[in-house]
Amino acid sequence: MAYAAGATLSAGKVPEQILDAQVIERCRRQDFEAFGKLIDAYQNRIFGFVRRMVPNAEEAADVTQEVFIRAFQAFHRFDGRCSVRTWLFRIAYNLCVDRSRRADRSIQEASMYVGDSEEAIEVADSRWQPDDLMLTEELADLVEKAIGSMSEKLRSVLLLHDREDLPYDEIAETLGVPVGTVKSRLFLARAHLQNALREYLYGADHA
Amino acid sequence: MPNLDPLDQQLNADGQQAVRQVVRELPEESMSMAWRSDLNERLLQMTPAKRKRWHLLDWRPALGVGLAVVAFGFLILPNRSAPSANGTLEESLASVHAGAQIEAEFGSSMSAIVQNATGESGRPHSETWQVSDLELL
Repeated sequence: MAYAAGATLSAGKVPEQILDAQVIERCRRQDFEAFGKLIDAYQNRIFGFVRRMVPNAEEAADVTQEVFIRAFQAFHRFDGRCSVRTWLFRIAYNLCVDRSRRADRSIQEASMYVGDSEEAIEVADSRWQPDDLMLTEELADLVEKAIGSMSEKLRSVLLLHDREDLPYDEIAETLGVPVGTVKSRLFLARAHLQNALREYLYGADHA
Repeated sequence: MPNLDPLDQQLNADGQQAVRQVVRELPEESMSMAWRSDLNERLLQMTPAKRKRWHLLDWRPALGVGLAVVAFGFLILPNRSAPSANGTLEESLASVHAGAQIEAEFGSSMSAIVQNATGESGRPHSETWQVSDLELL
C-alpha cells in the first residue's frame, strides 16, 4: 500500500487543528466523524514520529494505523488529564517500543553513554555557525541518518521536543521518566547530531 | 535572562538551538488517500453505528411484511365493516343495521326469484320433468 502522498523539504508545521471539547466527547462515544477530525489533525505528525522510530516506512505506516485504532478503541478511557496529543504520542511510543522488543532487534546505542544521570557533555564549539545550515536535501538525509543511529531513548526525546514541540513535562509523561532525564537526553541527542553535522560542514578532521 | 540551571543554559546555547532548528525543518510526509481509506475501513468495522445499521438490515424483510399487514388492517378493513371513526356508536350501529336490512331484503327477493325458477322444491326443472312432458312438446 502506498502510505505517503509526498514530502516537502521545508514544509514546516501544519497548524494544529484545534480539537474542542465537543469533538473529544464525541470521540469518547466512538463517533466516526469526530474521530476523523482527530486523525486529520495528527496523522502526519504521528507518522513523522513513528517513521523515525521504526526501521522502514512501510512498517511505520502500519504502526501509525495501529496508533489510531488503539486510540479509537480506548478513547472512552481517555480521562483528559493530559492532552490528546500527548496521549497519542504515548500510544505511538509504546507501540514502537513493543514492536522493537518483539522483533528482538538489537538497538544500536549511540557511542555516548546514556544514563539517567544528569551528566552533561561539553560540546561547545566557537566555529559553529548556525547560519551556514541551509537544509538541503543532502543535509536532510544526513540528519535523518544521524537520528536513526541514535538510541531509542535519545531519538524519542529529540523528536518529541525539537520536531513536535512537546514541552518537557508532556515528554516526561509520555515516556514515563523525570523531566531532568528528558533534558539530559535532549542535550545528548543534540550533541550527537551536532557532531554528525560538524563532520559534514567542516570535514572529518574537525570532528 | 531568567535564572536557569546549568542544563537549561546548555540547552539554550546557539549550537543546541541550531540543531533544534534543523530538526524542525526536516521534511514532512503526508499520508496518502489509500492509507487513510484503509484506516477508515478498519475503523468502520468497529463503529457502533455501523453494527446498528447491519442489525437493522437483518430485520428489514420482516419489517416490510409487518408494515404491509398494519397498512392492510388500517386502510382496507375499516372501509368494509368498521364503524366510522367520526360518528357516535349509536349512529354506527344504526348504519350497520340498515345495511343488514338491505342485505336481508335483497336476499329474500333473490330467493323468490330462485324459487320461481326452480319450483317449490327448490330443485332445478330438469330434475322434475317426466317423459310425458317431453311428449307434450
